[in-house]
Amino acid sequence: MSSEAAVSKQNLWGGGDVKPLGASYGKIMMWFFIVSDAFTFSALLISYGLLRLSSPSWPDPDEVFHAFPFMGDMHLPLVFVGLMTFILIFSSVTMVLAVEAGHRNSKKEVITNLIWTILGGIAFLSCQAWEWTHLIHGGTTIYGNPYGPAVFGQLFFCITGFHGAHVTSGVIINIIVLILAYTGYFDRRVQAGEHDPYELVEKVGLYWHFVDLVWVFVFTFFYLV
Amino acid sequence: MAQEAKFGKKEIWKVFIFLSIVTAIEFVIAFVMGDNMKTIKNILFVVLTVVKAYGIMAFFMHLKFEFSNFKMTILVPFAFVVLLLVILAYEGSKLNLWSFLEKF
Repeated sequence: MSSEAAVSKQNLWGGGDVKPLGASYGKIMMWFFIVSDAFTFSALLISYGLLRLSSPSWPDPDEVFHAFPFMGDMHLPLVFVGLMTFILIFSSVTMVLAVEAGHRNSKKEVITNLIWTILGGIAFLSCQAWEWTHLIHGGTTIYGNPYGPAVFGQLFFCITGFHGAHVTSGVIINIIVLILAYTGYFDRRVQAGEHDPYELVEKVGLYWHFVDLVWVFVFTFFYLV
Repeated sequence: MAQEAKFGKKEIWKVFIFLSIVTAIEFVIAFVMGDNMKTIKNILFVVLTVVKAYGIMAFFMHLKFEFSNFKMTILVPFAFVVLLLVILAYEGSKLNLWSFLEKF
């Protein structure tokens, strides 16, 4: 009887026999972090909405974002940001492919897909760096811009900068997971017979998809609406 | 891990194609529809954004296949975001921050 009680107590610390959320501790905590981070982004985007709605004029996105690298002054609205969106969605796909390969314990595919994801993230950040540089040289700073109220530039740099910081940390975390995969961390977990040995890839994947999710909203509210 | 649904490579690429098509539709709307239909345009953009967010959350983040307890734990708090959005969108259309903002 007493040994039975000891066993069930241990099971409770391990999440209990009946897991009410049906997910591991780490995964649940990653989701809770994402929810709190989503609140931060929501607050930023809703503040943007408040300031934009209360402002009598607002720059036309087609006019502000019309440049493309090496194309000079050609009027190409939305083309560059479309490329950025495509890069980020594609890196999300390679990330989910890495997670899927992790479920099959296929180390080689995990590594290949993680490398593509990291390259996608770096490509996105490079695009953003180019766009920022172009805008700043065109006179759009946090102190003012040639298109409309200064608050446009302030919100743009604040929100895309905050998102870019998330992409940067996502790339760094992906590189860490890639190094772990190379050095056989997941192989050891597979050999130890652990349940779901590639779960770390899944958790990092959740973060990466969240970054993509935020970009979907930033894209709509800064570039389209 | 809850409900081990069949979600392999084929399904992943299907979701990717779906997201790309939705983005392409957004571009078509942005270029084809004129500024005289600004309200309809913006409503369409928001709807398509929510569709894309659903695609990413449900399939890429695997939320569709989790326990419903878990789903509710994640999704119900966003009621506060909707509340804040409604309040500040209403206030934003009434406030006149213009004279204040011009000082910066």
